Amino acid sequence: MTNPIFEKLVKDHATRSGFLNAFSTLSALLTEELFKKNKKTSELVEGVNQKNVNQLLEQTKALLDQTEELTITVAFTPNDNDILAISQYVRKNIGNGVMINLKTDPRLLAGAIISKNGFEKDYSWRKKLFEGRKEIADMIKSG
Amino acid sequence: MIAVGQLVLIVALFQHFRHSEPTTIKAAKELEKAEKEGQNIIYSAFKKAKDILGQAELEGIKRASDTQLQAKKFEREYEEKFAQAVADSQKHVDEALNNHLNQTLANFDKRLEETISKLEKDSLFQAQSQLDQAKKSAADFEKSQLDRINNDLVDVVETTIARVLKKKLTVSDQLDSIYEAFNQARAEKFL
Repeated sequence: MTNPIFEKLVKDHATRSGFLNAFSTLSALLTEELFKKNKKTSELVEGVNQKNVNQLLEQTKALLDQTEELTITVAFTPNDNDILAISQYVRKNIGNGVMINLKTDPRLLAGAIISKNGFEKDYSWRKKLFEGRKEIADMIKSG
Repeated sequence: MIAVGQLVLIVALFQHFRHSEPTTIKAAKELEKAEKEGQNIIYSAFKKAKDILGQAELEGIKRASDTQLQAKKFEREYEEKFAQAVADSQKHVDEALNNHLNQTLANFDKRLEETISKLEKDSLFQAQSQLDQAKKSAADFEKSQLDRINNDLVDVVETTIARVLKKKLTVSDQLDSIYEAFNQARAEKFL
């Protein structure tokens, strides 16, 4: 069974925060369209009507909770275009149904820390620099 | 003792006959005669007993004298033998003491020599050990100081690199570094 609301939101939003913002907006629009304007079927999302809208909205939240999520900590604060670029890269290379949760930590310098299902991998430049301490020390010693 | 016994027997016979009642005059004469003879016998016996006693006394004196002489002789011999034994014993003791003293002195010299040698070795070993320890301490200190300086230098270099990177890295560089992280995670089968 497909959920047209979830399909639409997950296609357009790869971040959890973006998904939730869009979900909130779409819920309000659907309520207004179907109950205030008293339309039997929605023009905003195909396959949604007065009878199934509430069930589909509840199901969408449940599906979001079941969706695989990656937490990505980066060194800079990305704007919307940067977030979109990252999302598209993830969707293309990792998986279409994957949600990402972006965090910022400037100490990383560059690269990213990726967390998945409670496991974490550090691919930051801070770590690379730390791992290169010995080489730097050798360089200093050798003059 | 035999003489005294004989004397008692005679006196008893005399008393017996004296108290017997004479029946006739003849009997009285015989009795008188017997009495006289008895007195003679008593006298002889008494004399004989006296002689025996005198002889016995002389024998006793003689024997006592002999015993005294024997005792003095034995005492003199004993003193001589005792003096000889004491002298022999003293001689043995002196010899044993001398031997023991000589042995002890010889052992003492040997042990003194060994102790001095050991002390010399210990002192040399201790001095070498202290020297090694001092060298090691100096080397450790030098190494720790160098390590500290190197660490400080590395910290400075790291901080400088971090500052330069922050200024030099563009958003595009940041995005590329993120994609590179994703690729590495996929290569490690983490994603």
